Amino acid sequence: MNQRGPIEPGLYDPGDFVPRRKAAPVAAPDALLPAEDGFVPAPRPARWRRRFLQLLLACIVAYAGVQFAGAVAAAAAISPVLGWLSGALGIATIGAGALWARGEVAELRRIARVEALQEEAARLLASGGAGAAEPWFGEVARQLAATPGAGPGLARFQAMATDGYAAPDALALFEREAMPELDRAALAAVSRAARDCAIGTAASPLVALDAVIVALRSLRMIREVAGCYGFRPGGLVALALMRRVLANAAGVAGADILGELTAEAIGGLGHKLAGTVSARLGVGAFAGMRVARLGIATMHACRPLPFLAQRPLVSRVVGHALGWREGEDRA
Amino acid sequence: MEALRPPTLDELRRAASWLGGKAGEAWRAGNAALGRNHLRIGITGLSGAGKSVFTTALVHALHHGGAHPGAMPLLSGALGPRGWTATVERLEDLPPFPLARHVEGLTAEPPRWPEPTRALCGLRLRLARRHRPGDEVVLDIVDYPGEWLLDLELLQLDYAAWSAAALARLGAEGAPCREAVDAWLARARDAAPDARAAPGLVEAHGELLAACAAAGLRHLQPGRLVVPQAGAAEFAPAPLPAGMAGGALHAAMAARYARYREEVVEPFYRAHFARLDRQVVLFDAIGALAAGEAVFADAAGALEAALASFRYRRVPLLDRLRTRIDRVLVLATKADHVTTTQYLNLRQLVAGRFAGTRWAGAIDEEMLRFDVVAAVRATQDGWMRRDDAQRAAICGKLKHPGDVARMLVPSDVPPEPPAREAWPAGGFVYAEFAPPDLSGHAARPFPNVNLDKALDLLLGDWLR
Repeated sequence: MNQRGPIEPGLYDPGDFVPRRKAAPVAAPDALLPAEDGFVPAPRPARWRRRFLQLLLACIVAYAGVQFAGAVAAAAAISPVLGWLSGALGIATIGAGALWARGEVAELRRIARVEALQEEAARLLASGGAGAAEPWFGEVARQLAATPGAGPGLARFQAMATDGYAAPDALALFEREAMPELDRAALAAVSRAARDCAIGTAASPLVALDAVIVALRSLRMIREVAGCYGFRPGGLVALALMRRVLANAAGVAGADILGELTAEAIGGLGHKLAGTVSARLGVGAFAGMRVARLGIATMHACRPLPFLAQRPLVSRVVGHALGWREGEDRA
Repeated sequence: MEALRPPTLDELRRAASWLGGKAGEAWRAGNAALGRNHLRIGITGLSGAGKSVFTTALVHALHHGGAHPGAMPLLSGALGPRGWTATVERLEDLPPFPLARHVEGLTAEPPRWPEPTRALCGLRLRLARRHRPGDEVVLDIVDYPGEWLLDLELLQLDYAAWSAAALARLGAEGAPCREAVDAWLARARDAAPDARAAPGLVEAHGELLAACAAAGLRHLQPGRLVVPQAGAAEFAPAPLPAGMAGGALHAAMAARYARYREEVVEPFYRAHFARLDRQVVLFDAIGALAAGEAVFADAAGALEAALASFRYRRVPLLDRLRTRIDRVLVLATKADHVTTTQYLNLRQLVAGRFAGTRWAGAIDEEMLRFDVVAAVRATQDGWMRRDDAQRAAICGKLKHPGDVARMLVPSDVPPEPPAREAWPAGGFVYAEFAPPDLSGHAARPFPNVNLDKALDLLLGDWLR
């Protein structure tokens, strides 16, 4: 803040003048509108909907368990050694997956949290005066210094921006110059994850494996997107994302069960192979779509400023993952 | 039923305006398709608003900005990331704007501000964008004195109404030059019965207006007595008090008034003003604040009168018969004379006057926009630190006395005009600055505040 101490308006000797430098503490404009508190309590889901979802989850876990046990039992029926081996293999896989997940979370936690910067960006976009955004730029630039690919855009922005721009203009310029590389990298990470999940779930024989693939790959995607932006979501947003990861895994497993039941039904008519293949492909597409949506939510959650010019679209991620519209993306 | 109620007038107006906007877009797109990508921009401002500097910097920036798109980043978004090439040409129907002379003066050693242009002039810019070869944009830039714009007000008033308003402004409480005004009125009363006294009285009125202009007043009419136009002084009128109505002198002045409107104001309106597509109005709010309460009120009134002359286009084809202006950009100039922390307040000081008035619709539809600008940035922004106190300050070379670098801690700009009793006792403290060293900028845009933003506000939608 300006200290309205003994300094009165007037002409002075320039000896006491301190020129403004980038990322220096800046006085906030005197008259600022109070930021509106946009907190709206989430509606409680209806009791029976909750109960239904809980039971559904229990069904899926039980089915996956039975399926796993069935696979182990089938192996044991051939030979007890094979049974022990396949059981140990399954448990080792799940253990390794858990360790992987722990590693991803630990790595994610090393990235700086973004909420404070997002709130500040929203405030600046609503009513920021000239120069008011400089502490924000300083903080973001410090974090992005270690982010691969961010350097040239940041340098371009710093060469173009002057302290005379109002904060919304400066943020728009920042988005135009410094963000495209990061957005592209994040979108590519989301596309890769969507593709992996689609292929993985289409190929995996077990419901339990589907869920594990989707959960772990989504976790890795969140860490990659956070790495692209140099920031990670924290607090409630992070919890919401994790919840969505689990919901996706459960959803994909549910879709898989449904697909198998459908295939059985069609199989009863003598087209078991065709039914299975089409159900698998359907589950794969479903998983890819869910992960793409989650990826875009992650981009929103990790980006230090909201999308101003163009929001990312699920259709673009999916198209990118499936190899469509390559030409457009390069343009 | 709620859904079937008839639309309100406001909704109809909005719908018509939306349709008008769409039709305008289609009109522009059609013109572009026919290769007629042509826009005529008026730049005006009352004396002292920095019109010559603004026009020079704007043309210079468009001329050389294509090679340095990073120097005008907010404009390059509209003109294309790969830059553009520009050529400057004469306009056939107007005297040329002395661009070369002004740029030479600014980039000279020591640099000097351009001398004010006190006449109608213009030039044409052809912009070719590198990412869209073959698609050329033509901008005609017309620079005319704001005083002439104020004369358009005369078209809506008869002589008696105009006299009363003009004399009320000159004799307002706290206005400078009150004695000179009283002396002139006494002279008019003495000459009362004699119609032959009119030319002498008008000449004296011109001198009076010049004195008022020197004291900072800006809402002065007839404008051609303040900024002369060839042949106009011959029948320029002077206002007379209502008490003199019925006399021969009053009748002679009323006749001059009618002739002035017909032979000076209307031809200008038809030949130049009505052909403009977009308009920039420059306003020196900081200078007006520094000059005191009466001058600020007068200058703000002049700005309001100037903006009242624009009829904001609603339905383009119909309104082409009247005036084509579809966007007016009001810029508070010399923003570099205060610290960057004051820009929001400076913008609010100018824009706040029009919010919630009859202009609110035009503001909502972005036909009337406001911003702050410094076409050439003469100061550096920073702080004054002394002991443990700190306050935002600027540093630059003063205009008077020249070549002395000083630090200015400017007064805080109020977000709305202060009430009489809240006006600071010592007045607002601001200073005039000399141009910075621009010797390296002969072929690249001058350092500025928000000039690219202003151009984007003015032209961005049309250029994209």
